[in-house]
Amino acid sequence: MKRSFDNLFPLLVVLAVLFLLGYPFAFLMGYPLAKTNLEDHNRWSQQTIKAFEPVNVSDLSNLKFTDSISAETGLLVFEGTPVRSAYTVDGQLLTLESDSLQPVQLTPLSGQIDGQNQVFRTERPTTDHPLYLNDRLLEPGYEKPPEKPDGVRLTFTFTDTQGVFALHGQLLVPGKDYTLDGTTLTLSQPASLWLSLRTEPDWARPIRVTGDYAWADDATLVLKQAPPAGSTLQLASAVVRWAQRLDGVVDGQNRTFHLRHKNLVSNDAQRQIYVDDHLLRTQGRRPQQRADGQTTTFTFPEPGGIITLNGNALTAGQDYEQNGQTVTFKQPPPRLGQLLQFDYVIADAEQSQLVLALPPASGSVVWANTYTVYDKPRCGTNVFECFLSLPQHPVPLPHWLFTTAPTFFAKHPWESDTNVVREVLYTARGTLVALLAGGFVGLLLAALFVIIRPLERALLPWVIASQTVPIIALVPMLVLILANFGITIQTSILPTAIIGGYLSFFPITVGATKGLRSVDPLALDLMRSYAASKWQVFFKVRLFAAVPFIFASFKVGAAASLVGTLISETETSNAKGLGFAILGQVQAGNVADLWLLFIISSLMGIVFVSAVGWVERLVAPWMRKV
Amino acid sequence: MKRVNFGALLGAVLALIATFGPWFTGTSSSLRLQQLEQAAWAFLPLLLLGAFCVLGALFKSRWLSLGLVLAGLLGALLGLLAFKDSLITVDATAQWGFWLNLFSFLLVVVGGISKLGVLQGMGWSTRILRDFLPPASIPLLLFLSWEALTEGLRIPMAFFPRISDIYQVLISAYGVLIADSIRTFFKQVLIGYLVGVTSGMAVGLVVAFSLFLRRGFLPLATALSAIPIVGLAPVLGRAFGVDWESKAAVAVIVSFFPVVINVVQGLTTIDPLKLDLMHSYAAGNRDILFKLRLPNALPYVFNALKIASIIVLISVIVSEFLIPGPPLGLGQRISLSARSGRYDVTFAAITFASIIGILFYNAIVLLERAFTSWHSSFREK
Repeated sequence: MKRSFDNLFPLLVVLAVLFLLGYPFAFLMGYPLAKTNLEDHNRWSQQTIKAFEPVNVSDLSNLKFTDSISAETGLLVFEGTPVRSAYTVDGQLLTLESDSLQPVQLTPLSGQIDGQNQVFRTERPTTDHPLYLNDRLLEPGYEKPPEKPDGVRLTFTFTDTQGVFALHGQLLVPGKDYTLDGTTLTLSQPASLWLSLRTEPDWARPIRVTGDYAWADDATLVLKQAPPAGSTLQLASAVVRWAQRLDGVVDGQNRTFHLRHKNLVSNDAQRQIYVDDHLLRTQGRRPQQRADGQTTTFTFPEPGGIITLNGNALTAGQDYEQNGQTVTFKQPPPRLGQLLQFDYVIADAEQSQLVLALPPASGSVVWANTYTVYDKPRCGTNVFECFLSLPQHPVPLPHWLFTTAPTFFAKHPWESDTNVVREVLYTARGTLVALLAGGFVGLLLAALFVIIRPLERALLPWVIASQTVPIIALVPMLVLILANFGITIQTSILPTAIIGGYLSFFPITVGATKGLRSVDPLALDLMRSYAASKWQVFFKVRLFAAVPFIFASFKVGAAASLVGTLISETETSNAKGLGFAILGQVQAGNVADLWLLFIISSLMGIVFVSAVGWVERLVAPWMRKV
Repeated sequence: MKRVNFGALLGAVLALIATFGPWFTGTSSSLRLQQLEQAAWAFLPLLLLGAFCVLGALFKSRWLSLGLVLAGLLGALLGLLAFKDSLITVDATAQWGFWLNLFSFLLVVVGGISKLGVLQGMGWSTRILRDFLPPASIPLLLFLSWEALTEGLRIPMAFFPRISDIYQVLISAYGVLIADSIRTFFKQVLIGYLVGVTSGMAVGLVVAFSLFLRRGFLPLATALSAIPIVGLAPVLGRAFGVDWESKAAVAVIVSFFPVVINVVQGLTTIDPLKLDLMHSYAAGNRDILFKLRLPNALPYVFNALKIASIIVLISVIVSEFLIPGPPLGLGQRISLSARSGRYDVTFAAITFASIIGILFYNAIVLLERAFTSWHSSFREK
């Protein structure tokens, strides 16, 4: 009792320590990914900064905005033109001083306003125009489920079930069109039946209206609450907006400007930067000629502009000479180099620094209507949060193993091929066959080596060298070749036996040879004095002397053939066995399940090694140690 | 002439019979006269060889035995070439004459080897003939049979490559393969191996000197060695990216456990007599560590280094299958070429992998010899 406690207690303590060490280890393994998610701007969430609309439109001389505004950093624009007439700004309020401007064009929406109707339609797609109820600006917003609509799917999950649901231009009626269970919405008929041919597939997924309204398709909007009878619902087709000024001196010389938000998304096609009422184009223009490595003179569609080569801005006078539309390079641009002419280029995306082709004339204003920036890390504010929110952890946190184990074992019924126990049995069968095959070859070789000594001299170096041949590398080929003979791993155990056997025959050969040799010289002398033949010596002395060595090498071979079996299962396209399950979990990114499978396979290894020990006790009871 | 080498004699007689092989190789009706003559000329040297082999089999002389081995290999090669020439335009599989020729000459080689293997003595010529020549002739034998089988059965290249196809790839694309090998070995295997081995030694040292850790950690380490560690490769690929770092990480883990287990064993399994002797010299713990325990552990450590050197290479190559990153490295080459049916490239890459493996293993063996030349396994021969 005391003995087993002495042996077991340290094991448990080490297991507990390893369990605890699992946390920092999991963090360490996940750290590079988490750090990338935190620091790589491309993985940040994007925010589109737009010129914003006034919240009230009834009182045109007193426009109110949601945020406080300042004439220093912004300006009033109308349809891409700065408003020239005088206005004063005070906090959130803006007062137009002249009546000449008609700053808002509103179109009433078609649809009954009776306190019940929540669905309204427009003539043409106007999804990005602001919507006013009476004179109050409404807030758009909706939640999209993560599931992709495939025309057949019925269930979609949301984070919350408050509010109304809409699908493809229709308000969904609870009970009739859908039922809710927790956060799961189940449609009564597949989404495809709502679909008409002209619609985008994305509209086929149900949405939850979270703001005041949401567009249910590109000409239908659904309100969260029906507007009361007598109110007016108006879509602004043109409205004054408060736009952002760019930082930078406008003195007729300076060409460098800064946007107010950092971390500009550089490949943003929606970006709209204006100089007065002139929209600077984001797209570059190609020259007429192609860069072939020899041409030095290129003709661009317009004079001026900033010339870039493969995305790098060139300097006029230094890299090239410009004469109207013709640009002559000092050195011919390399073949297939991409030459483009821009109105402006992003000099520094992180600092949101722009360089314009032409310096804006003194007195003009440079402003941004829309641009997109990388806002903040999607995963959280620090590395630890990012680590926790990783979608696929390289190493799971240890306690996940316990939380996922019940679902893992109950996931597949016994009848299914993917049932864990059946997978284990399938792999165990493969391992056993591989071990027997490797054992047979190994013992045969060892016997040959001992009986015919020259054979050992000739072959043993190559048996050792055979282990440096990555036979596992041949698995894909072996499987293909055997498949040509009609032998697949589903119908035959042969590929597994070959690969597992190849891995296990080596230790058995070496161990058994050593065992057959390590005979007590006295016993040999005795046999000689009996005039025993070579064969009698082999079967009556050598074989028995080799027993402990043979079983020791079978233990090593058992572990090797398990590894071989698992690997041969991963390399084939059958859907059976622990190896295949491991591969499946790897591809699914289900890390906790993956580690459970590792634990199972190492337990299998222990069982196999100790099974060899039990067989040893059965076969050679005289070897039992005291 | 004490004992006749019956194996070699039988082979030699068969070889003489097979000299008339051209008359039976191929489908004789489809052979034209000219090809027949050509083939017959090629088989003339075989006649002479067969005659020599009969002589060699009758006398027990080391030089005649050596001649047997060389003559057998040469004969099989000549037969193969003659077969290729005679059937160059005829798309037929070989007839029994060809197989008899191959078999008889292989028999001659085996006979020669078995005579060389029992030579006695320690002279340089004996050692070369006994210890070096037999193992060296085995791959030649294997390659000849391989080529003869694929050639004789007319196995298409897309199904299983011939040695000559692999040779063509090796001489035409060795630059690419060397670049692959450098990436696989120096960037992935070597870095991972060095890190894994040093950390394994450090952990082994700590575990060895604590009975508690030995009882708690060793059973776990043995259990962990049953985990197919390459299964970890995709997991590590996610943590370290698909470039070389993740494969080096696999190498670290794979080489870690054998080193720990062996270091602990080496430091703890000490002959009590030697310990007593040290105590009787009044040696301190420090002296016992540096003069007894560490030297005692060295053979075990080198054993672990040898085991690890083999499995590290295999694991890195397999992890290159499982983490498909940039298409560089031997593992990627093997898996890509096997998938596209270019087995000749596959085998060429495997050839490079085995050469690396053998060199790596033998480098460690050399180190072992330099450090533990006093050990009994080197002294007794």
